[in-house]
Amino acid sequence: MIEIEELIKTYDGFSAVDGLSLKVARGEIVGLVGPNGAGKTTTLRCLAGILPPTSGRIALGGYDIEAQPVEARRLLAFVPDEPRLFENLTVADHLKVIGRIYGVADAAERGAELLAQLELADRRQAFPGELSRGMKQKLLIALALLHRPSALVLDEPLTGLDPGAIRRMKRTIVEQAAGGAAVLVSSHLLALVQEICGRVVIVQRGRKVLEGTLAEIRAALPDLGSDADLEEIFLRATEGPEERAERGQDTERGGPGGPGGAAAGKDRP
Amino acid sequence: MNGALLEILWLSFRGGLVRRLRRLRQPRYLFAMLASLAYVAFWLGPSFVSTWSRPGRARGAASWLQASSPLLLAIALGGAGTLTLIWLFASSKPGLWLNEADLHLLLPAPLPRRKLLEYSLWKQQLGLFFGALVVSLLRGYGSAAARLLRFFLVWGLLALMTMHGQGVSLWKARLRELPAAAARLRRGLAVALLASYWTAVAFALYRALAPLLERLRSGAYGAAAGAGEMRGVAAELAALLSGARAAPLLALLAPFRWLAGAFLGGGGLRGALLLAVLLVVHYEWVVRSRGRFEDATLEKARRAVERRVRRPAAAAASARARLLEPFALPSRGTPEIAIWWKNLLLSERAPLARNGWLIAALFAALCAAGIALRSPQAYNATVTGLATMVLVLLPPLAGIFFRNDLRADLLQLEILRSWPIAGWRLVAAELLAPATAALRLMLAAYAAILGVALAASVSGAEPGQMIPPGLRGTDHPFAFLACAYAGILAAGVPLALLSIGIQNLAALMLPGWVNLGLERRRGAAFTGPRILIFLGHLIALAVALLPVLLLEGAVVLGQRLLGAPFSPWEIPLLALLAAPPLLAETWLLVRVGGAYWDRLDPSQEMLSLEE
Repeated sequence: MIEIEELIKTYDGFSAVDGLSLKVARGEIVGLVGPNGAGKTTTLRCLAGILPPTSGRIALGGYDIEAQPVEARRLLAFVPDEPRLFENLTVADHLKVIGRIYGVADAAERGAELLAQLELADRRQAFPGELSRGMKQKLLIALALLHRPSALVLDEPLTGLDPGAIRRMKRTIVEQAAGGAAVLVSSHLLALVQEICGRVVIVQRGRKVLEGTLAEIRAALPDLGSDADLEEIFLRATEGPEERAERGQDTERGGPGGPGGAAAGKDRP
Repeated sequence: MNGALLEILWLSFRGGLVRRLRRLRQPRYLFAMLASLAYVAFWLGPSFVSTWSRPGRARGAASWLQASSPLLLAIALGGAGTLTLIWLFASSKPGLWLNEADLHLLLPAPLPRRKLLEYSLWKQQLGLFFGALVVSLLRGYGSAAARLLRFFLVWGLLALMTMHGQGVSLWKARLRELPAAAARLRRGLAVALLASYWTAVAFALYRALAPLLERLRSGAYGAAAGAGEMRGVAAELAALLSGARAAPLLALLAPFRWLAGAFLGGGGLRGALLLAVLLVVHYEWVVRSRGRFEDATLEKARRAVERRVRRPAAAAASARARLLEPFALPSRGTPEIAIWWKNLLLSERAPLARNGWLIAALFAALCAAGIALRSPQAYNATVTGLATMVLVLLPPLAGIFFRNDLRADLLQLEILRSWPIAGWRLVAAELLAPATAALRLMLAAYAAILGVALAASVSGAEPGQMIPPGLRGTDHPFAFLACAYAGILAAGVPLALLSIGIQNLAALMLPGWVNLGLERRRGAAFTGPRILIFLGHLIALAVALLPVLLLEGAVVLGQRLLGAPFSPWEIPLLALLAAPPLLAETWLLVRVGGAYWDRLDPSQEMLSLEE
């Protein structure tokens, strides 16, 4: 459903994304993780048609995002990391506008259902300025799900949500995938990614460092052991030369890190 | 001031300048800037250069600003009144010129209070310098030295007024912190001082003008004074004010007279010296004040950020008003209608149909008033003149007046860009809401003209009087007025669309210069780009109107060559003839804007506009 091939995005000569490729099939949840500035948000913005790629190809459901943008975007829902809404439109107004733009026949019923699910039913007539950050995030998610997208792209979807809302959001994401949507989630909450994502892509400086199921990427870093969680894997996969050198010294002193650390570092692109 | 704070000021200024200059690396910004500068040089350049060596004009301008001139005294009285109003109405919550970043970084820093106040005052000067520069150098006259002196005077007066306002605010804030008795005493003293001053001014004014008032009371100048008699009153007034009886008044208003004289170009060095002393005194007064400013400044900074994206009226809408919408929006149909609907809501939460009723009510009210008053010529001329101004001036400036379009929407770029709608359709849809607002006003103006003309017909007055003299002579003046203004309306709507299209295209191509969001942003940093965009708007409109003028000219020329006489009834037809090329040009703008939108890379500018 989501296909990214050799995506390159440069700004003023700086490569924010450098030859990234990934695929997300229907019903699959893929986690995109990486340190700050790794190119996650740029990748997702290119995928949503917000930024034009410098080169490479992005397709949604077989439609090229540049050649057939309208058809591609009709399949997609994008939840940005910063909840910016139309400040003079109420929650209900937002649902009406988005329903009409995507041609959702049952927009009123579906909107009411989503607001109830996301505990926003009593805020229908509120302006965004009267909502907390978490509520705005929930509204963005309701708007994204309104047209039953086949591809769901979420950039830090849990920021600002309370623990209860995080639990419901995780359930919603899983339900969307179970309903056949391809879901790509970018998050710094590695426990969430580990919990709900079938596959993980770790990026650094615009390039893919590791990709696969948790078991597959554990296997790529054998020194970490079979019980390493995503946080350990992430830190090892994205460590810089200084950290690597420090770990090397630790290893020489007999500290943690183990002899396999250097090998894993060497394997990385 | 603290060296670190000066460095912040300098680095912020330099950073802002560099950021703006870097924009000029992009050819579209460079081209727009050069075109605007060429336009300015073409219009203002010759007069600007030729007056550099003409100090005589400055002296000439100063001749009417003698110490006792009635005009100068009136301005001085206005100045004293303004000062009094500042004391009466200045807020007791002083909001300093600091943004949220300043407050979050500097308030917790180990800086004395005086340094923060100084930083705020210095920061404020950049905007004032820019305003003074524009006023004194571009619009002034005289030698370079005269212009420099005027620049200092203009800046000094602006700085003095703002510092005075801040000083009073801080003083009032301090009163709130004092024990009630002490605060009452100080407030009472201030009120007594102001009351004594105004009592003295009133007495001195009466004393100076008593002979003139006596002559007026005795009817020496007649009830309906003509122009000659008015000149007589003015001459006597001038004589009285320069006499000995006016000395106390002149003394009481002396500081204000000197400052007003200096500001208007007649005061010279004396005013400048006085201003310099007052500036130093005010500076010390403000930085030594002890009133609390932190909370109010934080609140002011927060509001400044909110104003950029939100109109406060929206949040304050009542529960009932929140349910109102321009029209019912079905969930199926063309998406453009949803964008139009949304943008109408950005400016007003009211049913669109209500406008029809309001316009009909305006028509009926003006018609009824005209009939009741028997359609006097003054009434007809006033209403027709104002309505004609709206019909003629609004269309070319519609893009500047109404901004509930892409300019508001680009702040929500991440939502907009992911919508499944082709670029040109989105751009076309964005033009509809501001065009609706312009059309509403133009229809109201048209209804006003029709109402007045109908009243003139019904009450037996001649509606032909409302027609410009050169075009009179028709047997059906009401029908002629209705048709002529309908033609203007028919040409005005596409012109308004074109004007809005130009501004939207500018927002897409030059987002760093166009004021995005519903609210106009204030400050020196935004004034320059705003002037450039306005000039660009005028140039683009002039170019867009060329084909229309050529077409109209060809028609009139053809008529002349054929020997057919000109009839006033051609005016509506000529106006109608302007509509198709204007619509075609708007369509072209929409297609260009759409193509630009489709391949737009907003990463450089638009996605960071909020920061």
